[in-house]
Amino acid sequence: MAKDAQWLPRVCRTAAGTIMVATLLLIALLAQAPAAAAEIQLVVEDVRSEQGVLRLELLRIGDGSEDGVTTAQIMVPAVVPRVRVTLHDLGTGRYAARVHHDVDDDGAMATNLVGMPTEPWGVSNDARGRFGPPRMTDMAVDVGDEGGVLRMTLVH
Amino acid sequence: MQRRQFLELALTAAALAPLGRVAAMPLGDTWETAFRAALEEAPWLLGYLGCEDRPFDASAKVTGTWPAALAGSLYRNGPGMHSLGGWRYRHLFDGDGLVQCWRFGNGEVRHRARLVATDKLERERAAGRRLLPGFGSLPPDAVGLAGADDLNPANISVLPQGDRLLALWEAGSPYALDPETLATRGPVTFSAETRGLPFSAHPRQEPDGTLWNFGYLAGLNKLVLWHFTPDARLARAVVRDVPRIGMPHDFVVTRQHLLLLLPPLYPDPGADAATLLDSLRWHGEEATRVLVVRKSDLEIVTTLELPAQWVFHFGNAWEDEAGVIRFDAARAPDPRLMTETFRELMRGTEADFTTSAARPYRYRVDLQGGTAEEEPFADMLGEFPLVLPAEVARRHDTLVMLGRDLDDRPRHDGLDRVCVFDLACERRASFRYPDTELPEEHLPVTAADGSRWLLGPSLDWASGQSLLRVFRLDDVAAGPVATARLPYALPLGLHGRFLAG
Ligand SMILES: [Fe+2]
Repeated sequence: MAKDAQWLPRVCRTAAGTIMVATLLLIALLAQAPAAAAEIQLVVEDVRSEQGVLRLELLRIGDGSEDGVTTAQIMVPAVVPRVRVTLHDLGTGRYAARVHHDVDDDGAMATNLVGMPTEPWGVSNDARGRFGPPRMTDMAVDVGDEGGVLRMTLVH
Repeated sequence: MQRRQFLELALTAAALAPLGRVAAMPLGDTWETAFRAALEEAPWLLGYLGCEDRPFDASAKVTGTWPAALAGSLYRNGPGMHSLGGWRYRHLFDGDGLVQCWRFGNGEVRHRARLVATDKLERERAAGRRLLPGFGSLPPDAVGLAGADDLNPANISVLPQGDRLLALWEAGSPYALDPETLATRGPVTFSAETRGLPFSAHPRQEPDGTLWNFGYLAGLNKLVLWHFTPDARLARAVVRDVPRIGMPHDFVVTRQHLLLLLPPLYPDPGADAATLLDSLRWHGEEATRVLVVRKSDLEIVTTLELPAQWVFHFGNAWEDEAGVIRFDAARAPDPRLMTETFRELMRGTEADFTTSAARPYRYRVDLQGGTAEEEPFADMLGEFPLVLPAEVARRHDTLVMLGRDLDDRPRHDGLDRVCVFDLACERRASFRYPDTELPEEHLPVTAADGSRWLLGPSLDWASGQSLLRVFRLDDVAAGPVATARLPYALPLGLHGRFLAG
């Protein structure tokens, strides 16, 4: 899948206050470039170790899918205590995000004997479930022309 | 893609968690007001008032003669703080764990108590109000959950383990405390693959130090089984599928087996319930299942049936010469004590608990014949059955229970005597407490010189003082040989363990 250079996200090391232009480990963009262009920041709080990587997923909500459609999957270095990823030229609309701190960098979420995650994870708006998983509507953030920020705090 | 699955599984575990709609914020909490008014009328409710958010340290005033041989620490736990930010919990089981240590030796008795600084309590202290739901309470504007440990109050029991003291809940991780200062160190993970799995508050420790425990996942219908070596290393942890597992609170161990009773009380997944408690349904027409697990491979070998019944606590179990499993328990006809009385108590409502109170029963489970039988063995109310640590998993001659005779009419709503059963001779000795005192779980213990004692905490609600009484285990009817008295009243606790030395 060919990618334009403008799609490359930049990673900000907020702790250091410097911008690290993405020599990213992996970028996979799955959606078509939309007409309207907006900037979306993904902010991951409470990163407690620099082992492994953060695997982020941006989902676009609406367009007939309640569950959201994966728009970008991004892997960035883990930086204590906060990681910020900026995505350019995305369409306006409703978005949600998820993150997994893949501490052992094996590409999968580590789980206990009954499948509960044992590596840190988070979702946008820090949405939490009631009798089940967080609802996509609670994770959703509306992004207009001025752009938007999706924040998530890692659950340890 | 896989991650989504994982999140969903994780949050299924939170199905345990009482959640749901957000209650409207009351102007002044009606339960707080109602309880305080009831306390004026019924001062024995002092045991359920709950403590303030502060540490407790005191030297106890001792009367009588404290046995010279009896030195060590009695650790106890129980729901301690019921109100925060002017809002009172709606169920007795929701209060933050208050861990106590009575330390005695050299003619001195010292007491210390600390609230367990769980993640939940720390978040709520910072907010100045309740944020997380409890088993039977939904605070106004409650937040959601990432997992069961989010609401873990570490409030049921304790387990001394090496250089740490564990504060136990039943649906999440144990919390580690400093056994000396009682300062909270944090939640315990025994291994990566068992992180976050439930560890019940009633682990059973055999005389050689081998420890067994279980945990239930009511939402996932899974049973976790834990096995630790005498040096407190995790030997095995396995997960078994058990449909309609419900919420078993305790279990028993023999030389060959583990045994659980599964009362027919399950969460109704379709219930539009505010809390886990509200989602529970009692299926009195169904059986209480007897689940027998083989120790050697932790496989479920038999499931038998008994009439519907509710059991919080077991005494002990053993296998007789014929291989029949014998055990005793405090058996209630239904769980209304938990589902109704312990809720109403929080607003001071009079509730007749006697019809749903537990009575002493003994059981025979014949694995060969495939039968399970039960019979009452004393015509009284009884709870908190315990045996000497040296008799766990083998035939026990002595069983201690708190009780109340059917014609006892104490001026409070609780049990009023401690009973020591000599099972070999089918005899009961008991000591009836004065009406102004509420006895708590009494522990039979063996001192360093082999002498046998009974450690009896209680609350003197009339004077507003918590007490620790010591009886001779073999002559409880003679009354306490010594009494240690604190300058303050503590909430009535649940379970404890004694550590000699
Ligand atoms: Fe218990």
